[in-house]
Amino acid sequence: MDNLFKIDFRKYFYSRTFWIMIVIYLFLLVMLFVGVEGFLNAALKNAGKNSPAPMPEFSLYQFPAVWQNLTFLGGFFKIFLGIIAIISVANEFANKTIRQNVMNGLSREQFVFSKVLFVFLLSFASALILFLSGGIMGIFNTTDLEPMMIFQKTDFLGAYFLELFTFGSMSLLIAFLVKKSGPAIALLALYYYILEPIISRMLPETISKYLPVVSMGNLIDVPNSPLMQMFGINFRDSVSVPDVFITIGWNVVFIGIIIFVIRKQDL
Amino acid sequence: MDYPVLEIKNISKSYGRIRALDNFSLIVHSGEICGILGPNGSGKTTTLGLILDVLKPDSGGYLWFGEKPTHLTRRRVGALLEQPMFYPYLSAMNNLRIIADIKGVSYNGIDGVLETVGLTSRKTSKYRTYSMGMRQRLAIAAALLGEPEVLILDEPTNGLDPKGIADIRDLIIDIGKQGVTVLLASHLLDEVQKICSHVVILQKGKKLNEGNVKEVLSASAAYELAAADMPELRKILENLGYFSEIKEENGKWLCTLSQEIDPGRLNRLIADQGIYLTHLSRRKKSLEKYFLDSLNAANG
Repeated sequence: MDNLFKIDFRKYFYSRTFWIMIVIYLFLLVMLFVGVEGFLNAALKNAGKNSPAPMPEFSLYQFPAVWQNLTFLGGFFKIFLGIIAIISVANEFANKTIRQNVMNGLSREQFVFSKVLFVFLLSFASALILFLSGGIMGIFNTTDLEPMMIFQKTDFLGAYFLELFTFGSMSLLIAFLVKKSGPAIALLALYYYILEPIISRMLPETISKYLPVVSMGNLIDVPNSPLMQMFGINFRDSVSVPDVFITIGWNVVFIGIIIFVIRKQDL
Repeated sequence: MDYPVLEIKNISKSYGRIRALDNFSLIVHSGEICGILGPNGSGKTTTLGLILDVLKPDSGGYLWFGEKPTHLTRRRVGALLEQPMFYPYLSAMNNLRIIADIKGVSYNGIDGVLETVGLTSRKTSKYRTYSMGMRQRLAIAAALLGEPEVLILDEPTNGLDPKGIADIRDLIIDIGKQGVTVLLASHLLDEVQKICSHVVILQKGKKLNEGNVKEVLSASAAYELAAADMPELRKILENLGYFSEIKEENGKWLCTLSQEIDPGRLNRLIADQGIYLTHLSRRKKSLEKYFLDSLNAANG
């Protein structure tokens, strides 16, 4: 395991492309987590100019609500993680280094696990960045702060990690099937933004809730905002446990299919 | 000592409707330098890809060192397949470190193999900046890394300059002398003739011929003979019983040997019959001739 990590680390550490992609992705996350409140309030103020009732101000960073708020928002950026995962696999096919790796004595399963490990670490890093930026913003913005409040509802961080990891393994599956980065990214975007939303609308909700992107999204519900509460709408304010199992199931399916396919394939 | 390193049993492989390899079997023993010959598209690279697990056979199988092949048996094999395949943004050093990590060998051997292929001065340059010949050299270095028991080389002199070709040829002979088993695919027959102890000839995925290079070449050795009285000479030669075929070529008798005889003795036997030779030369059949004859025989 540590050897796989060492091998993959060397593949990425000296690659400028990877550094640029990863730094941009993590930078965007930090910007999102730190800047979103100001942006939303400015937008609301603007929209509320002609409103008869005063628009309530957003306060995203109060413990413990900060965790649900930020993990919910962070979920929209998972496409970047998917793209990085796809490029990491497609590069190996383009340079035929997957051939060289296998020929030199890496098993096909080990190759797949090295990519899963990469997605795992990327998801973990995203959750860590969210924890740090959310934690810092929370400490500065929570009234009547008590130390224990920081760790309340941090299960949302776990759900966020799971959401990213599941999306990452779905991206890996597409990458291993399509092998070329351009078409694979196009297919991922097509499925994520268009195909699955259409399919899920055509199916009854009892079935559509099992679809991968739907279940990933259901892990973390829309945060309750004062605005929504004005209209009497209340969303779930905890991690959806059934969806935890559904997404774990999808991970098993995605990684299982990759291994099944790669075992029988010419490289 | 002489145990089978590689046993290929009835392996077949198709790409769509093209049958790349048809029921092919081969045994390579330890210490052999085995050349796989064949025209383009005859299945040489397919064979090597299969035994390196990069390709999957439709049927049949193979054993490495008498064992079922796994990724662990592949670590005992060094290979260069078809073309160099490396991370373009990594230096030669880092590319080889990845391979060392995969093979589970130390980095200490890296400087040595780079020295062997003459890349020491460029070892920290990115692979992307390498010329075709340097890429090929790095691929050979990668195959040599970790002192493999078996070396598989697919057209190792591709893209090399004449000096490079000579260097690699000497290197393979040298490695063979150290007891490493070598499997060499090539269409450069001259190269194979100089290097290999055994040959296998492939055509359209089928094995046409195989054998020990020395035997293959001496079995088809011939004498060119001439004398003042050519018809009389022919009679004598026919009675000697050493030749399987006697035919005229450029005013001389070309006599293919069925049994070995040294030129001195042959000269005396003929002189004993009262005929004196005006020309005697021994002609060794080249591997090229053997190869072309095999193909022609198969095509009937």
